Amino acid sequence: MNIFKTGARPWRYFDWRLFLAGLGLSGLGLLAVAATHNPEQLKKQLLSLALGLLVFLLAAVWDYRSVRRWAEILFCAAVFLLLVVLNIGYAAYGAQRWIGLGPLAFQPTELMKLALIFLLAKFLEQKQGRLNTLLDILPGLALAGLPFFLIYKQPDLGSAVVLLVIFLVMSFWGGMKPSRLFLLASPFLSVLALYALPLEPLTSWGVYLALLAALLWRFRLPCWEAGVYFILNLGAGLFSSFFWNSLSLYQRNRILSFINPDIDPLARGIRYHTAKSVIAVGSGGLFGKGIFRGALTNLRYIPQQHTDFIFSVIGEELGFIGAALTVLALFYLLRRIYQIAANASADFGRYTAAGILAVLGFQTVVNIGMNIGLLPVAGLPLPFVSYGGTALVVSWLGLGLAQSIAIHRQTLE
Amino acid sequence: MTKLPERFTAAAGWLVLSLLLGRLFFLQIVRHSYYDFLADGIRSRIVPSIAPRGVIYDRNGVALAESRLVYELDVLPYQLKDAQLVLRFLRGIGLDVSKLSRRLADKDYLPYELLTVSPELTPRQISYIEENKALLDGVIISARIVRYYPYANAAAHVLGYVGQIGQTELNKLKNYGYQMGDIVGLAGVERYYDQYLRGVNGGRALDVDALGNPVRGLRSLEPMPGADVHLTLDFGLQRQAARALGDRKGAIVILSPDNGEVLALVSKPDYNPNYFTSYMSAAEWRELVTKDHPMHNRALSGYPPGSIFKVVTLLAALESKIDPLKTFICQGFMTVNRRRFDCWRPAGHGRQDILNGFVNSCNIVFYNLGLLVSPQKLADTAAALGLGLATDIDLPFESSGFVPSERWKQRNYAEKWYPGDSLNMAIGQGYLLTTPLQMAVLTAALANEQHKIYRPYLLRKIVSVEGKNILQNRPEQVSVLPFERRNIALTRRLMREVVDRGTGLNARAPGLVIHGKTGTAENQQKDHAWFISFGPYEHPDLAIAVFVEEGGWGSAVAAGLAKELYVWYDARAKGRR
Repeated sequence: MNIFKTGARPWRYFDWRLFLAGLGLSGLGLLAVAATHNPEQLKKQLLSLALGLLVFLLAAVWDYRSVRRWAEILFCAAVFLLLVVLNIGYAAYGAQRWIGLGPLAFQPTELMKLALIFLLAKFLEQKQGRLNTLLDILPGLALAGLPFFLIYKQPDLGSAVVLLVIFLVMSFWGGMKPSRLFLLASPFLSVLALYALPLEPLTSWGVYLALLAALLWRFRLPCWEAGVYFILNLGAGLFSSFFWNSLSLYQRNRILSFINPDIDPLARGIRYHTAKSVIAVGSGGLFGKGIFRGALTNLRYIPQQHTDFIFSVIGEELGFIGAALTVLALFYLLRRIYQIAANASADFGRYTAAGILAVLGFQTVVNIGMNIGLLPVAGLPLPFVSYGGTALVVSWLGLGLAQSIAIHRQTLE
Repeated sequence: MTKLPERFTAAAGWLVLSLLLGRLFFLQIVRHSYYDFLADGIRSRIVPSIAPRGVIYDRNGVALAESRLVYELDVLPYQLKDAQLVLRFLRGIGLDVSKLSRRLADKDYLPYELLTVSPELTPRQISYIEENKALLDGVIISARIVRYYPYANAAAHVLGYVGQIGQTELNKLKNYGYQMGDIVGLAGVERYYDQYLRGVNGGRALDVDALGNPVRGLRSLEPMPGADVHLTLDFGLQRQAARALGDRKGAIVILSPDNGEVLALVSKPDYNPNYFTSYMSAAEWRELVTKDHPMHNRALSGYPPGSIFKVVTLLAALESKIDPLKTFICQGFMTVNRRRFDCWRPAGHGRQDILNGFVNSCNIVFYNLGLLVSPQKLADTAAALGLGLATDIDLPFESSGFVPSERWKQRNYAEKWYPGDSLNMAIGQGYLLTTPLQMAVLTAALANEQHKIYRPYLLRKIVSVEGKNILQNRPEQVSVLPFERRNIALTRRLMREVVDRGTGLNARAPGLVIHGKTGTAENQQKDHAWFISFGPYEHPDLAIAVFVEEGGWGSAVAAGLAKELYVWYDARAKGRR
């Protein structure tokens, strides 16, 4: 409907390159899913792609600005669905993430990401760049914090962290100073300083706290604010063991084995996924083993090779050329979204695009990173490529929104 | 493009992009061959196919040890859909799942690790599982070959048992094709003839998927089954001897006097060699290691011979040209160097010649012979009869027994040989140790017409899978008794009289010709009982040594057991005719 209100020739601003990059990646994803020899999943993925393209087109022509009116309702609905999934959703791989809708299964987590982006965009637009006291930041942080907690309970630490990343990136684009960004992230650094440095824990933590105090002085914060940040850092360190114990065994193992590979040198236990994936990618060589001819893929050595570890399939069967092209295509797509965000005429569009960029960028980097042994295993899919209906449709929806922002940016002129 | 977020984001993007591409370049180009090698190693593995061990037969073709296929039950946790259901089902068919459920609950396993639930399923359990296969994802039945002894304990100390090769053996044998984890014979014939029985393991190099399912065979080498071993053992007689000994501790050795074939070799208490082929339960292990040392082969261990040694003393005296009609007076004891030496009969035997002294086993007569015969002569005669030396039977862990001498005593105790030592030795006490097997060999030498000592042996032949005789064993003569024939004949006559009117009356059987000598060896708690004999015909078929540990007065127990065996043997022989 809105297409007619946007004036003549809306397709003039349609970003073909963005669309083609997404289409190419989806095609590659279909190929990789096909390579895992599961026709049933390939069929499902094809259907999801069709649905995703439809959603993409609808979102592209729809004026995204009208979502401003629905942002709160959408957010509440997503929170409600998260509560529902925690209570009646069904579990797979040890986590409760899905809601059954007849033959389909749906992950409210994916919807939550979008809802958070919209509501944060609206919030930041109202703030008009005044984001520098703790009081300014707090409402946004609460918006991200509530769903973070719900998703963390599923448990799905990876997706929960995505919400925090959305918040940080969007706030940054919304005018937050880097120093505040650093301070918000500082409690994590505090924990890292306590445990992850190869020094005596209390020494390294003491040094860190001293540096932090100096920085707080340098940033010229109000006294109470500096106090809050310092106490947060202190608390994070003191309660970290409590938080650590609340993680489940497999999550702890993933982190431990990433920090210290010697825990499981033969990679038979907790490092199994990463080690096998790295070997598969490495064995691909320059040109790969050839599509459908990867031995480790065909013999199913890598669990979840059609979802989280799809990149290892590409690496093994298509080699460096295929893998590098995949990475470049993803980054090209990210760059297009980045430019839409940078060129958006209205703040709401700018922040929304930045949020989409944050989600897709973070998932891309974390997923590929864990596939090639750079990051610990977190259950995040590779956008457009991994098998998974909800993720694919929502990725295309995000792309559609980006298109919508691109198409509708001229109408204010 | 001047705004801070844009600049910052773009820089982060470039940084991450180059990091990812760099890592890909490192993995796929720089270290490609390394990872390619690892990938090959992951997916192909050598699956050994274990060669079945050869069968062990007795002389009549009764299979005493064979290979059997058993079915093992494992659980693959990764594939379990409903662990509780599976646990309930397995418990329902009578399996112990306590360990499994604990490990599942604690997640105490590696990815793709197989958890063993039962080492051996009954056919009933297998059919229950197969019928409900659809519900039991992750429950895996796999077959393996184990050693099986159909008659369990009956020939345990002859056959021995098998088990995983130990580190000590492995160090000695690794140049002969033995490997870690190999199942080898650890005792008995299984150990002695292991190199023939074991065969050659084959193997297949396979591509396997992540669950260990073979996908594609690369090369394969068929296993070579081990060769069959045929023993001289007469299993009927063996079982009869084991039954005769019953719950007593002791040993029975039966030889064929004409060639040294071992017809029966029993040591009690015994054990069930089948325990070693599957996982032994704690209760079974306790049964094995607790009292009375059932793993210890008494037939090959040294004990004081007691009065059966009087055969040796008698021969030594006769060879020393002492007149057999020489008489001594037995008052029930005698005194030498102010030490008192008793006869077994406190009332004494009165006036006795050497002949009656042997028949009645009078100690006083033999004490005197001990003083008349030089210690060296006594030791030489014992050695000529094969004592103090291993018989070299084809079984591991044989003791050589012990015959003391003047020189030995001087060297070990720095003491000279006293007349008391001669007295003790003459009646088979003191430092002397003989094995039941040695006594059987000695008896066999007296029994056969040429008075030859044969090496006792268990192996008749080894037959390969193709039916070819790899090894045909023959009697092996060690020596001929270096005694005058009439002295041997006299000894034989006296042994006959021992059974007919002397201490061996318990062995007398109407219609059978049995020669024997009883013995009682003094022991701390209760005396050991001995009976050596040959019979049951004029031309003897059997030479039997019976040893009952703590069996008391020899004529009572041991002679009775020997008679039982002769009667049974005769009845079987008549039945066959």
